[in-house]
Amino acid sequence: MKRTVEKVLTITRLNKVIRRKTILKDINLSLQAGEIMGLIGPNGAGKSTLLKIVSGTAIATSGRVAYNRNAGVGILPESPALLPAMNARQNLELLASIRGVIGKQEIFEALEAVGLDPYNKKAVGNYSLGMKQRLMLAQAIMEKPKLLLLDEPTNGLDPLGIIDLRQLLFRLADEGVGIIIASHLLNEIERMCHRVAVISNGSIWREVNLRTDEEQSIEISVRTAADWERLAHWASERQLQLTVISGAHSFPSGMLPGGQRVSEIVELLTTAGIAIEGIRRVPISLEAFFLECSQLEDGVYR
Amino acid sequence: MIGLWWVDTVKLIGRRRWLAVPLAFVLVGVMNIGVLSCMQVNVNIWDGVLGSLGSWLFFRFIILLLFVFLTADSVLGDIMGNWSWLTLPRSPGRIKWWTVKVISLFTASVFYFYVGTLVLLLISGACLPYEPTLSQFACGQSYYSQGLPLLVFPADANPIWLITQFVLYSALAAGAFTLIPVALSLVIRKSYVVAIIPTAWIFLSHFWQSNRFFFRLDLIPRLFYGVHFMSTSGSHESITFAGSLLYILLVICACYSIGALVVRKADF
Repeated sequence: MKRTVEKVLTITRLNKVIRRKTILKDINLSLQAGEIMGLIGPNGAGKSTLLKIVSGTAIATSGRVAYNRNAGVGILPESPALLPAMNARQNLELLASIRGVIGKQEIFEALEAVGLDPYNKKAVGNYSLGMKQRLMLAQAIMEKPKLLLLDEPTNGLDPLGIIDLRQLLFRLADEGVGIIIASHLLNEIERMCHRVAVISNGSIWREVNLRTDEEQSIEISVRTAADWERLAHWASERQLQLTVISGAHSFPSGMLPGGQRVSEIVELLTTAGIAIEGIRRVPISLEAFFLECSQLEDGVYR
Repeated sequence: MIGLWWVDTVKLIGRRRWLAVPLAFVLVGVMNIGVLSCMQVNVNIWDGVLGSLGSWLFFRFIILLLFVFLTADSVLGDIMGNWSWLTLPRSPGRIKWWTVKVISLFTASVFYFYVGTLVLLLISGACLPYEPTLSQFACGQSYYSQGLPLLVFPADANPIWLITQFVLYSALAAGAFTLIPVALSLVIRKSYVVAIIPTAWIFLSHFWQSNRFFFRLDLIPRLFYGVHFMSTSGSHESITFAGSLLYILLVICACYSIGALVVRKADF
């Protein structure tokens, strides 16, 4: 299905101060329909606070959060909040009665979408953590919101549950739902998200688009030291930063910035008489970003 | 808002801890019948209810305290348990969300006292004789007949209507008293606010009884007994039925307004 470019969320100059402590500072973000965005950052960076402000459960000190409130917002908090004496369907029916926009059919569909049996009469208090998490996901999606906010959605899920979650989110994104995921599982964020915002100390330290070549560096190794010299000269002429990786005991290797096609580089280097031993596009490492933004400060992690 | 009220009320009443309600009222009913037996007066089924709800000790230390423990954490529990994440974004607004919380509290209060009264009627029905009218004791100098000056106990009074008034007044007073820790818990989000403060209040009000006390610390738990208290202590201050109603409504308005102010800017 072709994605539209309609924005489902716009956050402008958002600030949050609690007791003179800045929790969020000048946050600017937007989310398109059908886009899955990851929020990563160290503990206490402000990820959950940002989701709370967007959902309306917390108030921003200044700034603006704009989304279509009539279209609703689905929220998955970090820990499950359910009525333990009721079964899954009763929990969802109760929550659905607040807005009154869906019926039993949609509730059944939501339960089935997350892999729960709508006819299961077992009280939610007897559910495993994974089942509770699935149920929480069902309550978030049952009213078919255009914006979905998920705080640590993989909590308690087994590998199968994580795969199911990933497939469900891809399907929802295809249907035009904008999704924000705050998580510490960088591998899952890499797999699920189109874009990632790294939050550090309350600010958006960096935004990375995981689905474009722009952000993916190119690793290149050449045959001889002379080839390396020519490569360095070639890169310098084009004002491309060439970062040395190795060379002492193997082929000289370096890293070129993204934004160029590998096939074009191969053609240009061959024309320049440089013998290429290997070339590949290096996927973005969120771990590297994460470590960079969590740098030691005065000997301790922030 | 009706959907939100329904959700809040079901969440408030649908907890396992409410299983303590029939047990507590059975205890109150049995103790009341024991007290009436010791007094060796002629009583009937209606005395079982009026005596239980009209007793200073039973009402304060069992009925009111239990209601506080059942409901005072309604907001704090929602915040701590992330339930507010699910309800607040679905609500039509923060003030409406708070309004519904308050209405649900009073709904639970009415439900609590009606269930309790039903239990008391069952206990009384099993132990005391049925008569269509109030007993001579109830219409005479019974301690509970002096509880509310407006709720007179004439011999031809309809017992069901009288008990209904008693129940509604009890629900209003208990709801108002519980609204204080509920509103406070919006500001101070600690469990002691919803448990220790009302408990301490109730105990202090019992052992520190003085109508001259400037802050009227014990006023709400004693609303029932304004006239009775005057007659036993010789104090010149008393609370009339209309005065007590006004006082309760003022407490409700104050707590509601404070809560509304806090909720407008609060983080959940």
